[in-house]
Order: sequence, then C-alpha cells, then structure tokens
Amino acid sequence: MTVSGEIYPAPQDGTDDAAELLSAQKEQKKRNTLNLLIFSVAGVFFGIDADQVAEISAYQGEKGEDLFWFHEEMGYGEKAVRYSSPAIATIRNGGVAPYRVIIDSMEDIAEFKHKDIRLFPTLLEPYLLRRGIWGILPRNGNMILLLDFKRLYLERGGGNILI
Amino acid sequence: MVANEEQLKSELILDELKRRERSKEVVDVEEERVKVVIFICGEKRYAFYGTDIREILPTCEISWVPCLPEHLPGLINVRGDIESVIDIRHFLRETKSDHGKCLIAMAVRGDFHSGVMIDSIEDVVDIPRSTISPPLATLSGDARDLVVGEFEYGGETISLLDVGKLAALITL
Repeated sequence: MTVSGEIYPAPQDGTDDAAELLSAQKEQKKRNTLNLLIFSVAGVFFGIDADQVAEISAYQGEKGEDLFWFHEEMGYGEKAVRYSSPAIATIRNGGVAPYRVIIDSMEDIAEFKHKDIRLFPTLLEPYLLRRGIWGILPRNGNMILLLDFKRLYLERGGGNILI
Repeated sequence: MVANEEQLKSELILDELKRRERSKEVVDVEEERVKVVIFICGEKRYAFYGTDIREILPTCEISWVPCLPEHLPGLINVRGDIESVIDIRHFLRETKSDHGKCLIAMAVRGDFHSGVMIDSIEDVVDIPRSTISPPLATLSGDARDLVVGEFEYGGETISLLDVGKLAALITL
C-alpha cells in the first residue's frame, strides 16, 4: 500500500490490522513533517518549530531580563521595525530556564513537509546557521526563514542568548 | 619591357596586398578571443567574462534576510532555486540605485554561484584576449581586488571583473 509516496509493509500475520497501519502512517508522517509557528517581523516571515514554543501570550508592555525583542535578537540593524500585534513566545530551552522573545504578527501554526524545505545557498549557509537560521520554506510567493532557537542558543555559547 | 616592368610592379603590389590579407586571416584565426558581458553599474561600465555569467534575470524581488552584511541584500527565487544576491556596488564604491530597478546577473564559477546586482546590460561581445591589458596600478580598495584587466570599448576603458575574486571577497 502506498501513502504519500511512502511504502508500508503489509502486517506480518496477514490480517488487515487497520490500527497498526494507521499508527505507522502517523509515525511516518511525523518523521517527514514539521509543525511550524509562522510569524513575521517587519515584513520578514519566520517559522519556528512549534515544539520549541512552550507558550504564547499577548505582550502587554512588560519588561524582564529574560525578555528580548525579536528584531534585536536577530540583528535587523538599521531597518525600521514596528510591531503591530506583539506577542511573547516562551521558548523551551532544553532543560535550561526558558527564555521569552517578543514576536509579531503570528500568521499560522501549520504542518509542512520536509521535502518542501530548501537549503540556503552555500555562500550564506554557514553564516546564517551561526545565527540559528537553517532553511527556507517558499510559500505563497514569500520566503519563510526557518529559525531554530535552540541552535541559536547553542551557537552563542548556551549561556546568554544576547549577541 | 616597360609594359612588363609595369605589369610586374602591379603584380608585386597585388602579391603584397594578398600576402598581407593572408597574414591577417592567419592572425584572425589564431588570435584567441574571449566573450565578455559589458554592463553598467553606478556611473561606469564594467565587464565579466561571458563564461562566468549563466543568465541575466529581469528585475525581481529580493527577500531581505536579517543579520546579513550590506553587500548581501538577500535571496531570490530562480525557478524554484534559492540564490544569494551580491550588491557589487559596495565593492566598486558606486552609487546605489533602487533595488527594484536592478537586473541580476547570475554568476557561476566552480562551486560558487550567486546573483550579482547590476544596473543594466550594455553589450555581449567577443574581444581578442590580447586587447585586455593589466589593470591600472592606481586602482585602490576592493575594486583592485576584483579587476583582472582592462580593455577599450566604444572609446571607453572598461574594467574586467573576475567572478572568482568576487567569490573570495565574500567572506562570511
């Protein structure tokens, strides 16, 4: 039986074990897909693994040493940045205390196939990987930059996420 | 005798002319020619070797990526392939015009491939390699690192840029 281009073996005992097949299909799908939280800051779209996000809450002007503005975190430089609907994403940080990032314009949480993710040109990849940006997802004429907060954290020494 | 002498003189002239023509043909055949893509960038004309330019793309949207340096304005989608873009004006110290009005020359050399922002295409011509002279020693800065030679075109001196040297300059 072929599902989405993947071949699944028939059950060993010859019975049509629908539950087992369904479970295998789900497992296969999980292995080949990524659940992404899509948002944009100053017109640039980003996608982060939804599993890395512990919580999303509205930003209400709070401040804190563990709270960072996304554009400052990512090095927007002199580009003018205005947040229209800021929200705080609390990032799971692999056992270390979670940190919080203010993002903007949450668009979607959706599942994407691994095969739709494009690599960065070799000229840029090493540089962007050091900043946690690891892939591109073309979607509706836009390029969604895939960001791994955990990678960013590790690249910066794992202690302090600020540049 | 006079007639013969005159005839011989004309023969000599003809022979000389034909000999010159043949030698010119030989020179034309033997002289190595290279294709160059002449383009305008800022205020001046420059050229790349034609073998290094895969295609010229019309104005297209460049997706900005945060944390990249100024000379890397972002990414373009070329028929499904994501390519980087280099703003060569940064290295040539040329005036920057609107990104939206630029063309993109797709430069390829070995493993290096990237779009290069240019203002417009002037011409694609074959020129004798011998007409390319070494670059002026007075060139300074990054431009000196990019220029491999100069040649005359339309009464103007064109700087020939090297894609390999451009690749070497993009150190991230």
